Amino acid sequence: MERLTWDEIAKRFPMQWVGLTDVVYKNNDGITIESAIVKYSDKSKSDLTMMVLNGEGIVPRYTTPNDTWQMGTIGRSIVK
Amino acid sequence: MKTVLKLDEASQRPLIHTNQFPGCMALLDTGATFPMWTDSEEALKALGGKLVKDNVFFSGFGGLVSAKIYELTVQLGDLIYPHMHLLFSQDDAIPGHLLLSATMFCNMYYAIDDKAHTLEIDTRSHQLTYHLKIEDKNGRLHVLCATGE
Repeated sequence: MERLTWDEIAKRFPMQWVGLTDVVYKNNDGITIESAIVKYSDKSKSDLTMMVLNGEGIVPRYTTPNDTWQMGTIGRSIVK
Repeated sequence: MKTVLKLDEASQRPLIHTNQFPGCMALLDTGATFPMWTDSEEALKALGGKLVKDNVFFSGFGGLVSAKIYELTVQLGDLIYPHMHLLFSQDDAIPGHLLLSATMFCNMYYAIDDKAHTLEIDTRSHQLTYHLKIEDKNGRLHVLCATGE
């Protein structure tokens, strides 16, 4: 498994949740991912969260976050 | 009381960490009235979330939406929201696990510095705990936010 920059991860695994290991943060800020190893790319957000809660040392992150839905819209389950 | 939180520089939208679990991300949505949990119900319960009310309706751009109200203790930096009410609506496309609403910052000064990639919160008081409840009156949801001791 190769180390990729965050841009490479977002390009290779667009619009999905990934589970990362060996994360290097930009300026050690603890939030902005500079590079990492993609351990999981076939899991849902919930899958990854439960894996973290069960002790697996991965960092879940969503790729390509800048071009999804608009300003506070929560409305996928339309009732009427 | 001031607290400064780091924003994810890779995102054009304000994403921060919260303490729910390692890697838990929250999206600040100043257009939102209600805080929201957007991960699974299983994860919410595993973190101590308790169901307050089922089958409530609220409106968004998509129309009328059905959701559940849960309570969960949320911490942002030094600010604590014990047993905070939030809506549960699972959505994988949201780049975070929590949506932070404008109402969480009632009576506070909060500023996004997009150049420095920080979220600064000034409570303008010595309070560290805040109570946020979602009430359903006559089928309409509204938020009550108060400081706590």
